[in-house]
Amino acid sequence: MTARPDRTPAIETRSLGKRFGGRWAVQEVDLRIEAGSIFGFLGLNGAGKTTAIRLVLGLLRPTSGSALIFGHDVARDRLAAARQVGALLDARAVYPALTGVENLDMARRLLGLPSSEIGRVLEIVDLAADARRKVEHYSLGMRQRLGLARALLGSPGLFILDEPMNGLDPAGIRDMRRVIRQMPERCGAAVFLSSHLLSEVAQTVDHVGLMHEGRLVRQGPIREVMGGEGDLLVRTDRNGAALDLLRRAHFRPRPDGDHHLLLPEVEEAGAGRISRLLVTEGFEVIELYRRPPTLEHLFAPSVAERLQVAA
Amino acid sequence: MSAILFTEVRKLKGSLATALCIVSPTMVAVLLGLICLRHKVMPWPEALEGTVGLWSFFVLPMSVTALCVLVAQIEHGPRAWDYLLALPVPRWRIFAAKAVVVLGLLAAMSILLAVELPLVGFVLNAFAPHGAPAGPFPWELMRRYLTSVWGAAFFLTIIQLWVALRFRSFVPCLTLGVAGTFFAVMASGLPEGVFVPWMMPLNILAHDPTRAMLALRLGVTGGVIAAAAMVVHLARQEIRS
Repeated sequence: MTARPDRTPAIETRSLGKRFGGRWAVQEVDLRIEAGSIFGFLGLNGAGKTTAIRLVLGLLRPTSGSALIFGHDVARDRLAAARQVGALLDARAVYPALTGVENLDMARRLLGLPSSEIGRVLEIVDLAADARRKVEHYSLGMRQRLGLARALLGSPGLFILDEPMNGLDPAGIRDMRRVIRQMPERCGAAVFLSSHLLSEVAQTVDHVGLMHEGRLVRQGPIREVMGGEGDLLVRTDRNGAALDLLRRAHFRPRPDGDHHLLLPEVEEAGAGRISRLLVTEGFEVIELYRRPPTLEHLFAPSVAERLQVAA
Repeated sequence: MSAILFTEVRKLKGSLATALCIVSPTMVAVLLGLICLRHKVMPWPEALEGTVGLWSFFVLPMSVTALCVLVAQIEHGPRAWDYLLALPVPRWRIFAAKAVVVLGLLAAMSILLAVELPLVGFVLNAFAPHGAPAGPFPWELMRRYLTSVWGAAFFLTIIQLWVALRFRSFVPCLTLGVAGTFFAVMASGLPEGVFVPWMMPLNILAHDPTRAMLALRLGVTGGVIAAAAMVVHLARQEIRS
């Protein structure tokens, strides 16, 4: 892989857009992913994530704007840009009649890398023991890991992983998270990871971008974008009275279902105060926990905010 | 380019494409044996002409159709295009390598047929001498027939491969192959038939040497032009998931 200029963003898109027929699948996307960071690219199904990834990889030609990988314009200098990237786009995209090693060996040859690379990447994804088996006997999780191993070949500066946790069982998701978290440390690489499930990536990424209906509606550090740590849910033996008490104490509780009170945007200190107050006033606190935000919760304010800006 | 060719060849391991390359010529050779057993003794040139006729008129076009489908499905099946075309490798080389591999497989089928035909004669001589073709085996005639048929099949092979690589579904390629072969049957009696790509291999057997040479030239020239157009077109097309 070629040397990367310092401080050049791993990915930078400028007003990137793609139109299919009369419909914009991706519109005016301005992304910036710093080298060495883990970036979660979030959006509901059909939000335009995969189209944006395909534009970044040069598989589609942009209708407007441009995409740069470590400063190389993908449309003008695809080969230089592609040399910086390891991609995992689809777990099925491996050759099932061949073994894991044979799959990796083919990719290694195309990249012009030494054969020692195969052992290295197999160790990282913990697939060395099964590497001589035919891929048709692999589970989906093993195929994902093989795809990841292939992306790791040559230690590229940027990994693009499209829904890498799709279809994985909890153990597979845990393994995948572990490997992804290690990537910046092991390889100094940036990771660009798409998902439609916030909970899947919340523990892995440090920055996120939210896609909605083809537009990037929010981008930044995950805590900032998620708007805190999530809603606080409380269940007491007398929810009606607890609701009044908390309102008098200047919190903003509201009933959530039949059994809980929901308190949005409560900081850690506030949660402690609520707990103490309820106990002091003689309530029996049956449950008190945080509900992590979901994409669905995040999108409503993001979209509203964007519409306001546009107006 | 050698690395791409190596990977393209390796993808054939354990694939149906490899099996097809063995089955198709073997089927033709076995058929020659059965025909010889049931008919009066034929001289070798006549038996060879009949066999190469069957090969070039029907088995080869249908085998090329199936071969192109199977080779293309190696990528379409696991949706491997995205990964392959995102690699830092010039895309035209990937498609050119596919064309080289398919033409190579077709050559391998022709070579296998060239090995199996005299073998059939040997087996007939040993176990059923009454059915064995008469006279010495016409090696030079066979070499000329099979190399020319291979050259004349270049054009139809590239057309079939182009369609097979372009469409994820195997149906367009299969439909084209069946329609092309059927059209070739209909056009076999027409002088213009030599311009139908699916008829070019059969025209190698034409008794008029000018027509045979025209078929070979059209097959090779058309194949080269079509291959260049295919590589440019496929390398420039957008890859949609």
